[in-house]
Amino acid sequence: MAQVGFNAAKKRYHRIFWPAMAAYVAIVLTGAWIVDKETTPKWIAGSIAVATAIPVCIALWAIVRWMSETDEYTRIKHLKGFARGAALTISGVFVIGFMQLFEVIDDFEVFWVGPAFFLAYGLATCLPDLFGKTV
Amino acid sequence: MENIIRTLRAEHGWSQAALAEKLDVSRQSVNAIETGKYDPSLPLAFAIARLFGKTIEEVFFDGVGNQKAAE
Repeated sequence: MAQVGFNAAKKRYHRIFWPAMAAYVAIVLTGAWIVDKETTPKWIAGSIAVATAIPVCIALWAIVRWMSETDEYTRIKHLKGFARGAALTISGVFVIGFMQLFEVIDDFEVFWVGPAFFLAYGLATCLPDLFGKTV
Repeated sequence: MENIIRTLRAEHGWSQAALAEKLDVSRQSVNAIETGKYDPSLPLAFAIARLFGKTIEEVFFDGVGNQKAAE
């Protein structure tokens, strides 16, 4: 993935990201309508779970591709945000993981790791700007 | 690293967005470079200098070797 410039990279990103998000919403709604935790066979529920995750994986790939292709300043700014967000999320996962291991907490929904990462990535990318810092 | 991009941009009557469009970078990139918060790579520095019809040394100053003589 070579640098193609800010505008071309943005267009290529939008071409993948929005259809993926539309597919995600459609599959989530369909899954919520079809899957009944009590009666739906595991293989159907499992297939829908994987199908729901695929558009998110595609969007994540689109983000990484966009970071490779966009202009140098945007790339380094987002790569730093991505790394800081990942570090923050993994730190939280370790804390929660050890709390589970030592039976301080009973259960934790792994699903929330993904949204927590995206939140951390967003904050880690935007907050330095608010405080006048840059890459 | 300092530069005279803001001055050159004003001389040409270009906004940050217009300069960003010509360089195919984000407006935030131009702002960060202008304010000295981000030092561009050599290829981008060459592109900026070329756009204004100047050499890199006339646009960018490291505060040691060259001074803001072009300003």
